[in-house]
Amino acid sequence: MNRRGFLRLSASTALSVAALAACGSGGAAAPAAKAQGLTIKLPAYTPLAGALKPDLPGNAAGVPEGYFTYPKELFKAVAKPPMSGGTITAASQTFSPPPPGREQNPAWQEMEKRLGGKVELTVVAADDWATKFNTMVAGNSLPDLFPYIATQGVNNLPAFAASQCADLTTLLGGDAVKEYPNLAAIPEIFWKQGVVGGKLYGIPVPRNLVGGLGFYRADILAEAGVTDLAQIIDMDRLFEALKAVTDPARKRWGVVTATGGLFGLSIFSQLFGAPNGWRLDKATGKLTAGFETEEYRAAVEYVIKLREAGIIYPGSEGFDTLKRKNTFNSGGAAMTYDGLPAYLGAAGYLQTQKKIDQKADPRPLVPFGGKAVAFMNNIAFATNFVKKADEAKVKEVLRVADFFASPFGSEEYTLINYGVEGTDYTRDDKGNPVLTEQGAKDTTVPWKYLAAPTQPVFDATSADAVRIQHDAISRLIAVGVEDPTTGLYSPAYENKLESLSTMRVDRLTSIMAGRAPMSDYDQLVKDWRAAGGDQARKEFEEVLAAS
Amino acid sequence: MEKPSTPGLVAKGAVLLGVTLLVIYPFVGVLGTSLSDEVQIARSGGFVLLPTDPTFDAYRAIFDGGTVTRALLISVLVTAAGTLASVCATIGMAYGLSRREVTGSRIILMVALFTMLFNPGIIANFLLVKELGLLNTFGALVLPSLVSAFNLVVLRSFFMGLPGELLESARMDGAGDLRILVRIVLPLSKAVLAVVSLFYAVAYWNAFFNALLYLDDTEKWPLPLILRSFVLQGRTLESIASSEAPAPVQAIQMAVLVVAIVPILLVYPFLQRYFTKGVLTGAIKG
Repeated sequence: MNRRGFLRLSASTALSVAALAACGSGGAAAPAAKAQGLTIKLPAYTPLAGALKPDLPGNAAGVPEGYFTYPKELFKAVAKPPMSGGTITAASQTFSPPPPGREQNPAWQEMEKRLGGKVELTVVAADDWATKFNTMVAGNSLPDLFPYIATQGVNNLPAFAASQCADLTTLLGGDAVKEYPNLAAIPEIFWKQGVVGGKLYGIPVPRNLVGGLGFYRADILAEAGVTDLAQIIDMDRLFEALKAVTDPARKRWGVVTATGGLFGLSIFSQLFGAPNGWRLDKATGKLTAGFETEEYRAAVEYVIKLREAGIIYPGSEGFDTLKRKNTFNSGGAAMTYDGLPAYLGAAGYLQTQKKIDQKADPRPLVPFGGKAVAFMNNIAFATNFVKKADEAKVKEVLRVADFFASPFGSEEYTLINYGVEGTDYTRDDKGNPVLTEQGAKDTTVPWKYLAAPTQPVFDATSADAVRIQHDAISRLIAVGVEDPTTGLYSPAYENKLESLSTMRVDRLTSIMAGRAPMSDYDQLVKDWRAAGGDQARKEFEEVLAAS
Repeated sequence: MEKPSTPGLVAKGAVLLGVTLLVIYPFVGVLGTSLSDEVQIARSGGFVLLPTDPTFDAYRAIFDGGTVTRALLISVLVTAAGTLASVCATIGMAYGLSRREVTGSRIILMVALFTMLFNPGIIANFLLVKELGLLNTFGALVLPSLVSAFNLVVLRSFFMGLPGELLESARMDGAGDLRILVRIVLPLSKAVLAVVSLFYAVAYWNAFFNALLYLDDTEKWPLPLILRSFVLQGRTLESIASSEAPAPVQAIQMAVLVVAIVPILLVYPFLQRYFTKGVLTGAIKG
C-alpha cells in the first residue's frame, strides 16, 4: 500500500500519530521544499529467465501467477552470498509477537550463513513504529535498511531523504538494476512508489496492486437470492439483498465496520466508481480530489441509507479490527471491508470460517453493478530506504535486498517464508511445506518486509481458493485505477496530509453517523480546499504539466 | 449506633455484590478466554466467560518457545535489582535532604521537584541514554528512572517527622550519620519503606516504554513489552497493511495477560496493609 493510502484508510488514528509526529525531526532548518515531478529513469523490468511454470498465468498488467502446489525442486536465485563477513543493520515493523532470537532460531542462523554475514535486526510492533523511528532519526542511529512510512513524522521528506538516505537512482535506474536480477524482476509500477523528490530512494515490497473491494459471505447472500455477484445489476439491488439478510434477532447484519473504517465506505466508493485519491482530466490537466466527485458523494449518501435502514452492524464503527474480523468470521455480517491479503492462509478468512462453520463461503468482492473500479492502493507494502554510506556499503545492502527479493519457489524464498526443512517445516504428501510449531515462531522474523519479489497467489490447502483469489485480482486489476499523483511531490500535500485527512475523515464520519446533516458536505469541501487542498492541487497540476 | 434494618442490609449487600461482579467480570472473561480454543472464541465473538471445553494450549504455547519465560525472568530480575537500587538511592537522598543542617538541600530538593513537573521528552532522554552508552543494556531500564521525585518527597517527609531528640541522643552516644540512618531511622520507617518499595516495584514491573526505546534486541525485552506485542497484534489500524497481519490467537493474548497480572496480584495483598498507613504517615506529619 502506498504512503497516502495508508493514511486514507487509517485516519481515525491520525490525531495520535500527529501528536507523535510533533516530536519528529522539525522542518524548520530544512531547505525549502519544492514540488517535484517524475522524470527519472526507473529500474528496467527484466523478468527472470527459466522461472517456474505457474498453474494460473500472470500478465504484464500485474496479474500475479497462481500456484496450486509448492514447487518440489527448489532453485537457487542468488549465486553467491551477498555479504563477505561483516554486519548490516536493518529495522522493520512487525504484526507478530517478537520472534525467537538468533541462538534459538535455526532459520535465522541459516539465513546468515546464506547471506555470508550478520544481520542486526530491530523489530518494532507496527503501532510503535513512529515512536521508535523518531528516536532513531534523532539519535542518528538509523540502520542500513529501514522502511519509510508517511505517518512516522518526517516533515520534509525530500530533505530527509537527501540528507540521510542513499540515492539509488544511478545504482538501480535503467539497466543498472540488472546487477541485481531479483530486484530487476520487479515491474516499474512498483518502483514508482520509491521515488522521493524526483530521485529513487525506496525499494518496494510488492503486493498485488489492488487492495480489493472487501469480502462477502456467498452463503449468506444466497439466502437473499444472490447466487452470483453478476446478478446484482445496480446498487439498489445490493441494498435489497443486504436488507434481506439483516436480521437482528439472529444477530446478523449486512455490513460490519471498525473504527476508522468510515462505515465500510471503501467498498462503496469503489463500487460507485470514485477516483483513487485524485482524478486527472488528461485534456485539461486538472485534478479533482476524490471526495469532490459526484461518485464519492453518492457513495456517502448510500452508506447513510444503509445505516438508516439498520443494515450496518450497530456500534461497529467503534469496533477494533479484531472484533470486526471476529464478527465477520462468525457470520455476524454478510460483508466487510478488508484488504485482499486477509483471504488466504491459516489465519485468513477462508480457513478460519471453515473451521467455525463448514457451510461458510467467504469470498473477495469482485466488481459488479457496472460502475465499479478498483483502487490500486496496495501496490507496495512499504518502501525501504538505504542509509547513506559509501558506495561499497550501499551496494552490499542492495545485494542483501536482492537476496530477500528472491522469487517464489527458490531456496531463498523458501528459507524466508518457511525456514529450514525438517526443523521449521515438513513436506506433506503433495510436497507442500507445512510449518511446524517451531517454524511458526521462527518465521515471524520480518525478513519478508526488508525486500520481496512480486507476490504469487498460493495456498496449498485449496486449489479453489487460489482460483477465487486469482480471479478476483484479475478482475479488479482490469478495472484498476491508479492515483495520478503517485511518485509526485507536493510540499503542501505532504505537510497538510494529516490535518486534511483528519478533517475529512472526522467530518465525513459525523455526516455518515447522522450527527451532522448531508448539507455539511459542501462546507467540508470548501474548508478542505481552503485548508490546503487547493494549494496541493495547484502544486500537483504544475508538476504534472511539467512531466 | 442504630442497628441497620434487614432491608437496608439486603440493599447494601446487593449493591456491593453488584459492584464486585462488575469488577470481577472482566477478570473472569480474561481467564475464560485464555482457557478456550479458537473456534469457541470466534463463535462467541471474542470473549468467553465459561469455557465449555477448557484447554491449557495457550499457556503451553507461550511457555514453549522460551520468549515469554525469558522475558518473565528478565522482568523479575530488573524489578528486583531496580527496586533495590531505587530504594537505596532514594533513602540516601531523602535522608540527606531531611537534615536541615545540610547546606543547599533546598536547592537540590527544588531540582528534584522540578522533574516532577517538567520532563525533557523522549528524544532528549534517548540522546542522554545513548551518550551514556546504555543503549541495549539493562541499565537503560533502571538508571533513567532511578529516583522518583514523588517517592523522594514521601520518604523525606517521613524522615523529617522522626523526633529530632532521638537522632540527637544517638549522635551524643557517638553514632555517625550512617549508623543513625541504618540503626535508628530505617527501623522506624518500615511502613513507609514498604510503600515506596511497592511503588517502585510496580513501576518497574509495568514499564515497557523505556525498553521499547532503548532495547533493540528482542532477546532483552522484559515481559510488559512482550505482552504489549501480543496484545497489539490484531489491533493495528484498520488498513490494508494490517490485513496481512495474521489474526492473533486470542487465547494466547489472554493467557499472557494472566501471566503478567498474577505476580503483582500475589504481592499486593501482603503489602497493602502498609499502603495507607505509610503514605498517610508521611503526608500528615510532613
